[in-house]
Amino acid sequence: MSRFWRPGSEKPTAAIVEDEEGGVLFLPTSTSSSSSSGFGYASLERQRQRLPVYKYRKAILYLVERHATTIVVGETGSGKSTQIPQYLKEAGWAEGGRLIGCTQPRRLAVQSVASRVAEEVGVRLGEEVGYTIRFEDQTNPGMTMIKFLTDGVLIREMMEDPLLTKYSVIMVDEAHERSISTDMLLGLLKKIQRRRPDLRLIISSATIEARSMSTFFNIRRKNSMLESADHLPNPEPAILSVEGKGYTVEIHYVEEPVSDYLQAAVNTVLIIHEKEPPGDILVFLTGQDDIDAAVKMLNEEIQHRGRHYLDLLILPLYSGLPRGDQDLIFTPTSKGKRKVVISTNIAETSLTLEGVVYVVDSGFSKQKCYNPISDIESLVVAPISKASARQRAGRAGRVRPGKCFRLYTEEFYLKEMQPEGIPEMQRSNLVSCITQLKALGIDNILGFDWPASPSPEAMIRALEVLYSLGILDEDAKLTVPLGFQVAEIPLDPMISKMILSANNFGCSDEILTIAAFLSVQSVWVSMRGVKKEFDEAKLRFAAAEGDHVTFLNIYKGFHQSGKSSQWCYKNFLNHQALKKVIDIREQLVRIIKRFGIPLTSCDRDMEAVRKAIIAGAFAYACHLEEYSQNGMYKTIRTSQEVYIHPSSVLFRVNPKWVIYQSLVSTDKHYMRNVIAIEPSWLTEAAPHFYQFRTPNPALH
Amino acid sequence: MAAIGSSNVGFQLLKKSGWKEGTGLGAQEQGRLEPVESRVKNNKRGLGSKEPKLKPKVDEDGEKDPKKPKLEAPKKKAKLAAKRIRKMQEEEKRLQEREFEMAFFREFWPDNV
Repeated sequence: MSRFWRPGSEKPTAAIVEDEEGGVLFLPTSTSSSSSSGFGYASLERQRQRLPVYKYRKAILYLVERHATTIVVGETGSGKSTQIPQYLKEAGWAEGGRLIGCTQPRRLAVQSVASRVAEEVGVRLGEEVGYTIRFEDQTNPGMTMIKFLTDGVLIREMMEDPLLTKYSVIMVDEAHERSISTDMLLGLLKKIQRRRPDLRLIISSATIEARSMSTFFNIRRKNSMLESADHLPNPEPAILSVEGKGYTVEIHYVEEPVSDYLQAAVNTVLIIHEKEPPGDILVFLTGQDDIDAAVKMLNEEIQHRGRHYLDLLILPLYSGLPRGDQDLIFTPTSKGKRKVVISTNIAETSLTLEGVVYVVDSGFSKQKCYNPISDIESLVVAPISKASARQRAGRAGRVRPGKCFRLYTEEFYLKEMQPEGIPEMQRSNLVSCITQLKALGIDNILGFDWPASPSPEAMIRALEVLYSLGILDEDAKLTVPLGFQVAEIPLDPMISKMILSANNFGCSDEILTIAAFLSVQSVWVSMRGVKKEFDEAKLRFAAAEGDHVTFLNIYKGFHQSGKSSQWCYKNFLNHQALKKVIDIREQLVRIIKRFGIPLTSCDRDMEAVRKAIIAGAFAYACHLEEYSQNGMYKTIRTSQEVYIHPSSVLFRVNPKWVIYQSLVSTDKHYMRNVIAIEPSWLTEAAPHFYQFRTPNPALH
Repeated sequence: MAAIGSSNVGFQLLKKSGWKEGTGLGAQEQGRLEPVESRVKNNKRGLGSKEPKLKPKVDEDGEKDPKKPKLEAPKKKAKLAAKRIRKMQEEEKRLQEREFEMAFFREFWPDNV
């Protein structure tokens, strides 16, 4: 059993960020004795005024008025996400039909923050306060004043309104997450500000290096001498640090590296419950598999121990969690009970969990990582950065002094851990990103101002794929109409191409259904303990051709059942997910009709369906290695070893030729959403692609 | 694996856009030159942990720690529980594979296999 060394306390740093480049600093004034707000319930109003950000209300409004860009640094829980939009509205930034826009990197956070703000303002969600995420719009034009949306949705809005003229202020929240959409958005907003000096930006983050962000947004106007300084905001960014109200968090490290962080996390939870005073526990693990395993281990331990352990409530937390399970997490803990939330890094900054006093930090998170040489994008478990570690520890000090148990040594933290995480832009496939930039009129991607530039290899690989898909022409411009249509469909360009090609095979009806299924994380409800029945349910829908055709069978069954939730329950299907599939499909149908593409069905001609799928996903073709005993495949393009994921209906069937939609990496690269094909269809679908390289003997 | 060669169509498109080989992207060519590397982690070893090795059984410090008896009991229980869990998991996995294999081949035999 690992023991923890107690070096003393590590109080979260809270100070004005020093700006050596002359940015405006603002010291907090004493608490205001009066409130100008007339909204909200009395108790809610008192809650709002107790948030750390309240002390900075006047400072924030002053800086937004005077500066084009204001950078706000404040810990999660300081209240900036929910309060700043309200301060802006109260100050009149939404008057005259203007909008206050607030972006978040994640859908879950958009919905959560929007609901909270609507509650505090005292209006129904979708009226004065609303949100828009992909495939869902809860706003009312002409009424909505504060609009929450994901970074990606705001980028998409630029395609219709390049200068975002509806918005008076745009707040980019959680900028520290540095998602690919966030970085694109920051670069685009910088361009917009050059042409719209009146647009105000607020860049909000928990950990971001304020100086580099300030440098990025420092715009030197060419004709500044000719303009009146009285009418335009100062282009120099202002930096404001919101002091957190967090309490001291005691950091504990292991004395020696642990041999199994999962087991160590479970053991630590049990010891906390045994030795520490009341307070909820938050455990950071990597993903759903880790979390499910930990939940199971803890529940079994509870059964084998004394009655004291029955007071533990073990709750998983990850993106895509059903709504009811989410509500459990946010419900206050009953007296005498201790809640144990086992989470991915989504609880690191995006969500605020009241009542957490103890944090167990495994030191790992799951990260997307793209290798442009092999053209493989995978989710890998990777060490966290110091910034993440500090964020995780901070979750323990929300309501009173807390403790953070780090399952790694202090030496590792000091000497080996990276200060900051790698921005997603530098470890991602750029196909979607380049398509969007091109559609926004940015032809010269070389000169685009990236907060963090991707590598040339990643750019080369993306251009190659886009050219082969017919989305870019020989001058690297979007093709007409295909390239622009692909950019307009809010899906991965390969899937969009699949949809647009379906018309040639007379199966657009089926392909739209498949595309909708691919947009949902999973339609199955994983039920532990009834594995046999679950597998039998899957087999009822399984199609010999593969996963995509299986989706069609599920869709058909769902409709025949009258979209029954009982039918879903009986077949281990997620009713909410299937309703979402139908909703997404309806939206895709509307888009396709706007393009003038007819809705056609191939009836049961699955060869047409498979050929249409190849038209989009030809780059992901694989063949089974001869004499392979364990189902090893190799990608045609880069000869990577891949395997069919056990969740696929083609698992163990191992057809000779397959195409996959995505890869999941654990110890190997696993193909998900796999379909069997004929090799001759590849040269039919993508002659350019396969002729650009030395002929593969297997293809002839 | 070698880097992407100059015959690659993406390589040519990037050059046509003005890129010079050996430079980074971005307005001042300041971008990183190499892709981000990643290593697949296929175990549950904690940060800083190397290959598992046997720990010395003898306690070098002869002092008796009054807290140790307390720690021993939960530690032993945890080990037993972990072993039980691992055994159950292996058994369950074996059963799953057998059932899945039998059921699947009983109902499906695709033409292209």
